[in-house]
Amino acid sequence: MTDRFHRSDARDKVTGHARYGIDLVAPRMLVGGLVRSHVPAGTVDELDVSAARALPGVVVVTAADLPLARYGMVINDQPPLASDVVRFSGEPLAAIAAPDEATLRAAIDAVVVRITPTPLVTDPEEALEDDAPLVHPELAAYELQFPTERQGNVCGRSVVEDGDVDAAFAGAHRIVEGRYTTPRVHQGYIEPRACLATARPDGGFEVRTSTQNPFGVRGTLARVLDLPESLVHVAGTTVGGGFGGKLDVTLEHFACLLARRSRRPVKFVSSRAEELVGANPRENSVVRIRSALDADGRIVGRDVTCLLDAGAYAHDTPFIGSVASLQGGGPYRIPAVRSQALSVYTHSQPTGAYRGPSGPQMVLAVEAHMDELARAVGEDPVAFRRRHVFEEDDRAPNGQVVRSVSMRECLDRAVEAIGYGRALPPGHGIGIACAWWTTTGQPTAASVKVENDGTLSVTTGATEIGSGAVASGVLHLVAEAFGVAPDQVRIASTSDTAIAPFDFGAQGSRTTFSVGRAALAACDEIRTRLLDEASHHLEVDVEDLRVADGRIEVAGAPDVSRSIGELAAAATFRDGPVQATSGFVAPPTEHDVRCTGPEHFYPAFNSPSFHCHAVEVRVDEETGKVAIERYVVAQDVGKALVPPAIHGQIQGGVLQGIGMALYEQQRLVDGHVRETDLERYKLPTALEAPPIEILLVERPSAVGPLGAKGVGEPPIIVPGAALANAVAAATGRPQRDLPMTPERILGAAS
Amino acid sequence: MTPLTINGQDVVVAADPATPLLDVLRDELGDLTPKPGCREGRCGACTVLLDGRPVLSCLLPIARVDGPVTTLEGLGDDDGRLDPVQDAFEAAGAVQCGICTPGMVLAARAVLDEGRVRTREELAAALVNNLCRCTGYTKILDTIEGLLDTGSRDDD
Repeated sequence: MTDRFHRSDARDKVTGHARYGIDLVAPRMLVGGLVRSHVPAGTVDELDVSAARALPGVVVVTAADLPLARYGMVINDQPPLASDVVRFSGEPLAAIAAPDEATLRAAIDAVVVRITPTPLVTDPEEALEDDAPLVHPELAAYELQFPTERQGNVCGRSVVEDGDVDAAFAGAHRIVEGRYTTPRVHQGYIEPRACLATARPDGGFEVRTSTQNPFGVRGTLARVLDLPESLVHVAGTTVGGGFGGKLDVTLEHFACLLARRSRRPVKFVSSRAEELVGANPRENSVVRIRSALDADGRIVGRDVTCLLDAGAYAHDTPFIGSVASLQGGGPYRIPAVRSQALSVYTHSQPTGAYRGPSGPQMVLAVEAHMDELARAVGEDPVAFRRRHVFEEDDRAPNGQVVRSVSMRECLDRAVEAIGYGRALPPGHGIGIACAWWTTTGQPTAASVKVENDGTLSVTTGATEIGSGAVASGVLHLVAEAFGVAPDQVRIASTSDTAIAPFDFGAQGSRTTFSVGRAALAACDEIRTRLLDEASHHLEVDVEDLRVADGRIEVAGAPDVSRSIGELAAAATFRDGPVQATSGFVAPPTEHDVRCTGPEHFYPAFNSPSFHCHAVEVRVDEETGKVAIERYVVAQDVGKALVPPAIHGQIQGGVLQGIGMALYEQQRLVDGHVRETDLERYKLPTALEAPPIEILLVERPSAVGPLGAKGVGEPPIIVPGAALANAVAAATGRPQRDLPMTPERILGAAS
Repeated sequence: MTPLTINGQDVVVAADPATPLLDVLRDELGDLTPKPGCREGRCGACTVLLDGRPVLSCLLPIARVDGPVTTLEGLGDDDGRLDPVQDAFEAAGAVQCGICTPGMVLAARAVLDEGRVRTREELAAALVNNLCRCTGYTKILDTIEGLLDTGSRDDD
């Protein structure tokens, strides 16, 4: 691949030309807002919107105006607007549109809400107790989108089991157990969720929105609005960060309903406080692990239970639990593993996908536990890991045969780079953590065409959310296919359901992987057309032609050539325009259905990548502050397509992981989120950003474009564990709970 | 009526003097480059330069705007050439989602023009009001650091 780095959207972004969801405007548009519950659990005695409706230009919708009672990704458990019962503090009760912000505020204030509090449960472990209040007493009656376990406050259970776990524990030389917790954390995108909806005269809607997944938004909108998908046109804007938080409908349905009723375009923008009380942050978790060791200090059995706090509505947490269940064994050979994840309702804002969903929770638990196991057998944590890491063709607990494995190489290189084992000053410690992760390969398509000036244009339904997956990754692949400079490729249009072919959305570390494969297949078709055209003009057999530098030349006589632009122009009038569209979906990764059951949502890790992070910290035992001295990442990317973009993903993902490890958390006090602004919810600043030493390992995927594996998610899943192990090494005290705030570190010391 | 000088142009705006500069720039003057990321003075995406110094336009009433204002639209020259900071951000991959970029570029411009920052630590401290969730700040800091000696406008 070329060394020249280019991304097609950077010029627009550095000049301010890019338009985001928050920048949307339309003539005569109204601004939308929500009336939210200030009670976390209760029955609604009164919801009187008449005074708001009486204000000039104000339009109000409540549950009575909705075509659908409940919706959801797995369970139809969520009313778009609550009516008789509220289940979290911040739950929307009414949606209002007004001509301006001041009128909107007045209208929201004019709504009369009376709610009688009912018994509250906000802790996922307490929610599993027999006498816990039920968040959804009528759960059994709800319709399902997918089969899922539901009982009491449980809305999902995924189990992976391989080998005889009970026998392993019965025969164990020693058993070690631990309990690990992680906080609820917000994706922290700087652009709040924002959209603009217009009702169309055909009964449909046009929606422009800051989304990672326009086709997903279209599907949910069609269900909530009770319309065929063809009447819902969703077009993505430039997205100011998403990280999983902008994958599904957020405000779009409210904007549509109000646009229909008001006959005006309606724009919604979340306030920062609404982001923090009414979005879909990462699930807080409680993970319990027991491991059985034999007399040689080898792990022979493991039993893992992960609780993911779904909040008041299941949303996608049961999906995420299925991913959690695949990680109970870590990237290690363990002959008998039982790993289950439960999604649990509580009276709190619904949680959901955040970059590497369930990864940070499970990697913290598995890797902090690995260090504790090493200590229990009196072995160095790195040596202990080296005796257990996956090798090529090992069997994972889902029965998957793991291929293209580089776990040992990643571990060895990170350990060497950080100088593991050297003498450290007092208060310092080095922590190591390993992980594996999946490259999801869901469907997409890309269309490539050659312009007369020799440039290439790519159209795809994929969303460029800032990672560079489309604007740089796909772009460089297409440039490489024709030997043109990267700035000769244009990403013509993306993320518009009316124009582009279907795409599964910017999620699952899949965009460069899937769209890249589709684009390369389209490039192959175009090359065939152009070679045929060149053969015709140059009167040379196709076998004697080659593609280089944006030209097709005669092998051995490079001065006899035609540019791809002139060939495309000629071919257009001989055989039609030179354009090709190809689709792609990754083949399913084989696993053993006896290990996962037939209804496991996500039963295997496709094209898995491998990771080791090594960090040296200094812990100030007076203040409890953790300072990062060095941070090393060894990441298997399969094939490093665009190293500067990969480095950007790693640097950004690691700092998000550091945020979760040390600073960020959303706590509930009496059912209300405590961190409702960016003063209390502490996103890392430039002062918290350590230099990160990056080692790219290339063990090619058999499926990815040129062997590439997914890159975007996994950098965030390892830092919490690596830092916990480093702080434990520095302080001599195991660290099992994130974030490791000074209060917690000092508290644990006393 | 409040007189303002925005990117070298004198304008008079009718908005209430308590209106935040951010809203006047975006809603009245149509300059969408300053971004309302939080509207509470914490994210820095709305940063503009007032007399060359970075200010949070979401918290600044127009009545208190006592000097010329520069937004991202005011950088670069009339022939379409970018400011060296913009060029460097683009070339280095210091831009991902780009929502922080307008504020970050302006904050960087101020750092370079003031000429007081010498070390990476001082640079990080100078950017502490500008949050970025995508990049981990590394490429942003690297890029500005690379301009510390050469990036003033006079060197073009």
